[in-house]
Amino acid sequence: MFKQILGKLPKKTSAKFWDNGESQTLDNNNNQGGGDEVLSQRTSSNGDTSLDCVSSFDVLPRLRDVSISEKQELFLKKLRLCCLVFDFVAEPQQNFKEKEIKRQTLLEVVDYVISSGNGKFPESVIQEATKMISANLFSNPHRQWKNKTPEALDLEEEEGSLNPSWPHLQIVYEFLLRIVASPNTDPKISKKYIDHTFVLKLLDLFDSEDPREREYLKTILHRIYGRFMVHRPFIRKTMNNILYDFIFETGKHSGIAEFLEVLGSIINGFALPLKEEHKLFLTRVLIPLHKLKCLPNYHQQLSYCVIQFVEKDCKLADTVIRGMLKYWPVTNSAKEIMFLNELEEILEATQLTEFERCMVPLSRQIAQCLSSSHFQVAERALYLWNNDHVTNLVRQNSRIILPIVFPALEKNGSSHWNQAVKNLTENVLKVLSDTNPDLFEECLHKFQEDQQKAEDTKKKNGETWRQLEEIVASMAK
Amino acid sequence: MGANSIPTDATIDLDEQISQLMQCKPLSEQQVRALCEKAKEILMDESNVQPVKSPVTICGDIHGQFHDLAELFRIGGMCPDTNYLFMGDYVDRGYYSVETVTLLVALKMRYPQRITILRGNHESRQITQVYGFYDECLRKYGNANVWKIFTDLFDYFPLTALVESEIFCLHGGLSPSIETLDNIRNFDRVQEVPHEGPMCDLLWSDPDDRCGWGISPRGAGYTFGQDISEQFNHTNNLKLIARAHQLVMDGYNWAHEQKVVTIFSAPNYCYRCGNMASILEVDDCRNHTFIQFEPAPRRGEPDVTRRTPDYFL
Repeated sequence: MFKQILGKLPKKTSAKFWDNGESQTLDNNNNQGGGDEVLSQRTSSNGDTSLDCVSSFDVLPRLRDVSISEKQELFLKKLRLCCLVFDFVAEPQQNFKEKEIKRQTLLEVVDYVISSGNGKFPESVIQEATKMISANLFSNPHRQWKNKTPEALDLEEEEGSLNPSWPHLQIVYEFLLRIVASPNTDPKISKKYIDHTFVLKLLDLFDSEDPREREYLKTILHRIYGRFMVHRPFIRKTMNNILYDFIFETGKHSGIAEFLEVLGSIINGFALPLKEEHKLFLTRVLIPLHKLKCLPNYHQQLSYCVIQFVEKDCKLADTVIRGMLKYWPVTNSAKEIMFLNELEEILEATQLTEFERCMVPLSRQIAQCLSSSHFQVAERALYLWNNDHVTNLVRQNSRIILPIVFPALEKNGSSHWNQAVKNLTENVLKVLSDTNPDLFEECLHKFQEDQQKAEDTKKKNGETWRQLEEIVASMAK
Repeated sequence: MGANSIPTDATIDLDEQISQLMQCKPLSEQQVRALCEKAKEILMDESNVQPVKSPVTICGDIHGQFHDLAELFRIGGMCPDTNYLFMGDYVDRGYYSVETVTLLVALKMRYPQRITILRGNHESRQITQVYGFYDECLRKYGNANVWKIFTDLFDYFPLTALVESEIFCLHGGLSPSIETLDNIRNFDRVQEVPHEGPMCDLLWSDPDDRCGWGISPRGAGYTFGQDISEQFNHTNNLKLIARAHQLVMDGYNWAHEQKVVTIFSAPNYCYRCGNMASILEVDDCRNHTFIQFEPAPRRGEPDVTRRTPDYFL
């Protein structure tokens, strides 16, 4: 759609302004290859076209070849050049030369940020830098490099597809990272450019299928959160909103794990006592995140966030445990194992008071897992008894817990199909009977009684049915 | 009870169930229970090396790809118009393991002499809990009862079959602890597939280009070379070993100078591998014809054919 603008450009300009003194043959190549179609022009966020400023100058020397006094001006010019965005999707085979020159230029500007000595970056540098970053990251053609197939995301071995524009994008991300991390960047000045809109658009990029891109975004967001105190509430609120969207509406987002990783360290820094806002975040976002189908993609990070909360404020333990019981998976065994893993970690940080508040529903759920036909679920639940803190909590409440879990264990021991589960069950039963032999006997007795009762009822029902059938048969005659 | 016998109440019920299953609609838990109880009686009388007559059509892995099984019947002919020998792996991976395995068991009940269903390495309790059949039962029935009924029945499936005394059919491959077919006939197969030993090997082994026995990368069974196949075929007067167990892009693949053939009957395996499927027709004169086929057109299932990860091959 920018063909008209591009068509008006003198052919040589597009070649020359990229010329940083290294490629003298560029002109020829370009003319042969149809140089006027080289640059897929993009409007930068401010609305002015970068080509206008760019066409006003030609050969650019290398930054290291000019005197200190000229450096900054040249740096700004190079930033303006880099506002031009190439199309790696529709035209992957074209403009190799120009793409390479832009890549070199990007490397140069990154190097400039790294090696600039002391002294704050002036406003003009930050302004041009954010303009260049915005042009490349926020409004360029390679955002839709791939049509997402929603079903594809459900498959287990999805390793994400790679962004074809990466040769340039990577350096742009590196540049942004260096800018926000540089001691020469003054947040007071740069917050005018790295503003809410900028942060919002950056957060939107997390839904990328390219893991390399998400990795950069994660590090950058981390830095911005660290240095731009003024943006912190806004960043938290925006992440909340994206997560709400994910939980309640779309169920699809590629960057949840990265968000949660950043949130993990944010939570780590929360001051005590925890603010109401943060507790709400736990109950309204983190706990409901457990219910989604794609939990495996981000469970590790989610679990870390939740445990941070419980470790900071142990009073939250029973809220968390009850929340997990509410979302306990019924038809997904892999998820169930993840829940058990997380549960053990939470129990590690749980004190007796909070444990006692949720132990009855918790024990019922554990009993179900213990006698699951799924060998890995049953094994995982049995492994809870390897944890000293957990067994301690159980021992102090064995009067209540043992009667609930005993039937499950006893059934396993006699009839589970898996030998490993049987053996583990035997061990747990032995531990239980050693620590509390009287109660154990009591439970065993009660179990046998119940079994007998159930059998009697079954027999009685069978007998009733037989009699009924006889009556019907005799009536039919 | 042959194909031409007079219909009884039981066969009418079965015919109804089969036509329901052919529409990919699962049976109720009670129906599955009754079906499997009867199936157990028929299967327990079959041999570890079940004799099969030609003509017969030999098929490989299905893996819950119900619509492709329906396509297989459209192409190869419906049972009992065509006799079938399936070499295992009916469940896991695909979305319709329940419907697939129920249909095959129902056909076995209705036409016991016309269809043979062998055991694959996925017809096991442990494997089905990791690769999908268990969770599918939970989703479709709300509990694990149907999973338990089927996995209990799998213990009775025969391990191998012998077509006209010359084609030896099984899911995986040979075992260093087995020299003769009589070795196989002699052991008790009614159990969960063990982690090692001859019964495990029959369901897990793969042919290999290297000679002799090798360690299998699968962690169960062995790899066996051409020398092993030749020796085994010679000892047992066999012409061919037909097996499944491995994805092959054309649906079938010769190995060991035509002493071994791999047949794979799940086209576009896992809805993404882009492979052809095939079946092997053995006619009255013992001639072999491979028929290849592609996935059936369908709705409601993903088509994510993109790339084939190496580990499927």
